Amino acid sequence: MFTLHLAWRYAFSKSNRHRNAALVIMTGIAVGMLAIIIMLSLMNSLQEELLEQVKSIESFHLQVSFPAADATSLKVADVAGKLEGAAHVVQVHPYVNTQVLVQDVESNRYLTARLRLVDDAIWHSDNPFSRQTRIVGGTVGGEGNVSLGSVLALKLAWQPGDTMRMTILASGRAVVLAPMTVELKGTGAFVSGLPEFDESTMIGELSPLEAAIGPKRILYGLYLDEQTIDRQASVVRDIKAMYPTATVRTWQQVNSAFHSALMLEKVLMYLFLFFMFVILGVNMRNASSRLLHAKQRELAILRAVGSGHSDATRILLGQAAIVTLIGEVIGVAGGVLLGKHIGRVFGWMNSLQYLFTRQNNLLLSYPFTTTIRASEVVVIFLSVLALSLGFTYLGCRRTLHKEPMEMLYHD
Amino acid sequence: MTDTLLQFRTVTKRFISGDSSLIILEGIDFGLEEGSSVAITGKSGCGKSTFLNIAGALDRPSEGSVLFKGKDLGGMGDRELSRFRNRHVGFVFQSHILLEDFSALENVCVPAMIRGAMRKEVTARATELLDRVGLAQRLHHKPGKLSGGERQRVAICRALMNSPDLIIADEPTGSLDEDSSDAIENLLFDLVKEEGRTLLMVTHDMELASRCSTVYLLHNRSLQGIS
Repeated sequence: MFTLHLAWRYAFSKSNRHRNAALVIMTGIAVGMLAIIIMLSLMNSLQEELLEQVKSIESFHLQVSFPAADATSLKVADVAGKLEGAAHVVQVHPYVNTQVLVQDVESNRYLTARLRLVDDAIWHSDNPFSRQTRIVGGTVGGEGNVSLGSVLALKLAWQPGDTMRMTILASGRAVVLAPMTVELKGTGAFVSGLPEFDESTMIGELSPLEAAIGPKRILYGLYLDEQTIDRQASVVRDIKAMYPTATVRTWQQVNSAFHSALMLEKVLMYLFLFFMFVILGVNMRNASSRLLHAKQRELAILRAVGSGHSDATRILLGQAAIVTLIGEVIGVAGGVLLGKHIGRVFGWMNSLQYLFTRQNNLLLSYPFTTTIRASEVVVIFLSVLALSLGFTYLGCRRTLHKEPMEMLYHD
Repeated sequence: MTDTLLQFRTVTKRFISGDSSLIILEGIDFGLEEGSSVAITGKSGCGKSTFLNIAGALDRPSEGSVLFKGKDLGGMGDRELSRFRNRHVGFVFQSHILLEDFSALENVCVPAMIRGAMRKEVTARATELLDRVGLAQRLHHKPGKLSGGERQRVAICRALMNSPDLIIADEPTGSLDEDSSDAIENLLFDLVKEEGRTLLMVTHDMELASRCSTVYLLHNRSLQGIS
């Protein structure tokens, strides 16, 4: 009890020398914790956002396809209906992705692009795609119509109502695929949040072109309920039981390259955080040496009046724990607060920059969000505490190794 | 017949710095009887403080042994040595070293708190001691608010707190003016006598040394009896 009492008194020492050392350490820990939490939560959020966009926009949660021999004998509506009946499946959208040569007849510009033919329901029902996508011009959906990604629309100098002439590779009579030209009305433009998607994709109705494209190329995009999105094994098993010849691919498999890149980025992020930790650790080591140095004389007095190594170590560990915990609580509170209002803070910073440079900062204008995971905060919190106590303990061993008088002379 | 409280057996202390070795004390044999008061005098830097530090187990001899009530201090581990310093020795340093963050009362209480004594008893004893040295009105003042003489009085009370067998005083009046010195000297001798303790003191001041029952001169790394 007495050692705890001393630790408490030392942590809140009124002596300038001790107080300054404790304050410097507390501030260092608070700033370090804040920086780590903000970095981690920003990176988490960016990754989550990208993954959400990829699985909602690009690939659906699950993708089902059939071998050519089976595909011709299956009716698209029947398959979609049956898949929709599977457990955890929320929506099914038959679709085709096909490369096209597109010409905006009015602006007379050409480009190669990807045409995604999908049922109109994708726009008008509540699903991850419709939630992620914003219509930025005209209207979307409808037979004979096509919508363009915003960047593609800009490149083609598209205006609502323009005629889009497309050369599609359709099923041929004499050859497997033969070029076919169709004209669709470009009625709307959309922004999905995925730059590549907006740059390369047009979306049109499947049914008028279904026969021409042929059943072999039709894929079934499935949206799953929230609990199953990332753990789809049971749904895959059910579908395989329904259609043993079907190929079922998860969004992770469809986007394997992208997914691997994100995982690599995550590893790099942790490496980066590790270096931040090392920097924090070095600072804490120096700070704990400083604290011990400031306490050397007092330790010598305590030892002279009968305090043993273990008592002195407990006092210093107690003091380090109190100082670290206060710094950590301040850091976590600051990190959470700043994380919640990061957009506003960046906005202020952008306004400040604009005030001086009359230019907006693109990075600061980005609508950043943060994802703070309690488990990560707890791990960081405990790691910093362990580092602090570890360095203090090592410092104690070094300092207390000296005879009491040696410590006093040193002072 | 009195018992030997502290005994030095051919104690040598040398400080090693790099390749050079400096011998401060060499082959000292010394005995301190229980209830006596002994003063060690000598020139500055002759090793008086080192002698005291070894006697109080604040430092270890390079060679030889120190026995307290027949028990070799060199064979004790940290826990036992700490216990020894806490129960059997009270230190009064030259520069009245106190814990700056603690009041006069708390400073006096520290040795007893380390011993694990009950807070109530500790506070009563510390208050009584401080009252005896005339600091009843200064119990809750921090060392920074006390004069040099007052701080040294607090240090004496701290040294007496656990009623140790041996009081070790290193130039107890060395940093005080003449009036304060006289007062502290009287106080130290009176308290040691009242409490029946043994006093081992280092001083330059021959007048102060003469108040002790035995005076030694530390010269050329060895002790010579004067009186």
